[in-house]
Amino acid sequence: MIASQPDISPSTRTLVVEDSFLLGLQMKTDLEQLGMEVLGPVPSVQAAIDMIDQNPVDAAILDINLGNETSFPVAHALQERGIPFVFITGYDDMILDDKLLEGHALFRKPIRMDTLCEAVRRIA
Amino acid sequence: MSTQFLQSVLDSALDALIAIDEPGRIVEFNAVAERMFGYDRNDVLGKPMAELIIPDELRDAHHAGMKHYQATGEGPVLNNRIKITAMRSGGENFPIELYIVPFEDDDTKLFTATIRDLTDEVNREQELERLLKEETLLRRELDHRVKNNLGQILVMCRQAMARSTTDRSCFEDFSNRLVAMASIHDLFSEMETDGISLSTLVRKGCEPYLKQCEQLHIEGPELLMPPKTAMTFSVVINELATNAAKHGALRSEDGRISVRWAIGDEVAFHWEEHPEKSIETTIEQSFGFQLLESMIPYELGGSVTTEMQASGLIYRASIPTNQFELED
Repeated sequence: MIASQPDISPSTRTLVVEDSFLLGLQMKTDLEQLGMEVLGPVPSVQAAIDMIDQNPVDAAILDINLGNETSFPVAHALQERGIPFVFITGYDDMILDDKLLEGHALFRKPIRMDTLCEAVRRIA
Repeated sequence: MSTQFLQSVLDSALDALIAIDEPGRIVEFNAVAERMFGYDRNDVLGKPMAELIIPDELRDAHHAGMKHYQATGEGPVLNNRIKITAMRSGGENFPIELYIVPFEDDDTKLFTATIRDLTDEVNREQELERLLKEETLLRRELDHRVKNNLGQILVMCRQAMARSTTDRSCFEDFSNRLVAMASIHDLFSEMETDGISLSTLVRKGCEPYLKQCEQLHIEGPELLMPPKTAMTFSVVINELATNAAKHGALRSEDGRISVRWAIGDEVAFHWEEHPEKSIETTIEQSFGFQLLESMIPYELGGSVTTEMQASGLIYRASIPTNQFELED
């Protein structure tokens, strides 16, 4: 059983990258309710990179498919900076870049927010 | 040039090559023709071509065509790529593509045909057609399941709400949004072309709230959208329409809504309400308002302005044209 208020320090700033406005908004609301500080949500690779460049980021949640692009370039940028992240996806059998996925948690939508929050807490 | 050289060129051709003289006797029959029709060159040289490779049912037409050419010099099958049926030595018919050129010098008159066997191509086409049919079925099944799920979500929510004392209007809004989403799936499964038209989307979004159809005026060029863009747009149109029904022009049957769009560097979308004089249009600072302000900029990368004029609500959106590019 996961605690409803996971032990997360308020200074853990989590970037949320999600191309659906509604899903992104809900994730922000839920994660903030669970005590997390949320950056974003942002819908695209460019917006995510800008966010990383301009703000201190402790962890990130990356929706893999962003409509016309994937979030893999964001994953690379985060990896270079040593920032931990988890993936989320709505697809079951998408062709996935194995090397990038190695060592990163992958959650399939729909996702329980407490589960996601717990996963971010573990890596941050 | 030596005869051997010419023969080697003929035999290395990728297509079957058959030449006949004026009475229709075979004078050339290359290696590909041997394999395609199942005859030995030596057995067919000098024999009437029509009896060997033209199916019974086409033979009369062939003879008539030859006669017509000899009499008039007109040959509609000459110098044209033609798809027709041919016959193998075993009597089996098969599809071919054919190109015939006449050749004439002082003492000879010949017709040379290059022939391609289309059996594989036709089989591939049939296979492709079968796959396409299968895909259409799958898509319908998927749409059906998605709509079914949305329907079940609606019921689950209704059941949960029935036991709660919360404001009912919350549920009405939610239910309208969900139904709007479901109706988009109807459009996806109905769509014969690759896109959903903006005018259809606007009409479908507003229809449930119109007291009479003259209340809605739509003006703009035909604009097709891929599913993702249509989904975003349908949420926005649903919010505009429900807001108009609750707080704006659609509160009375005298109110009017004008929806216009134009395609330039960007797609400019314009929603303007003209409520009845006595009614003041307002807009709720709510979740719905947040959707109006943010959906399009967030998901389509455009910009949005919402204005409350004395005359009514004006909603403008500017969307990059690449969001309207349809997939191949």
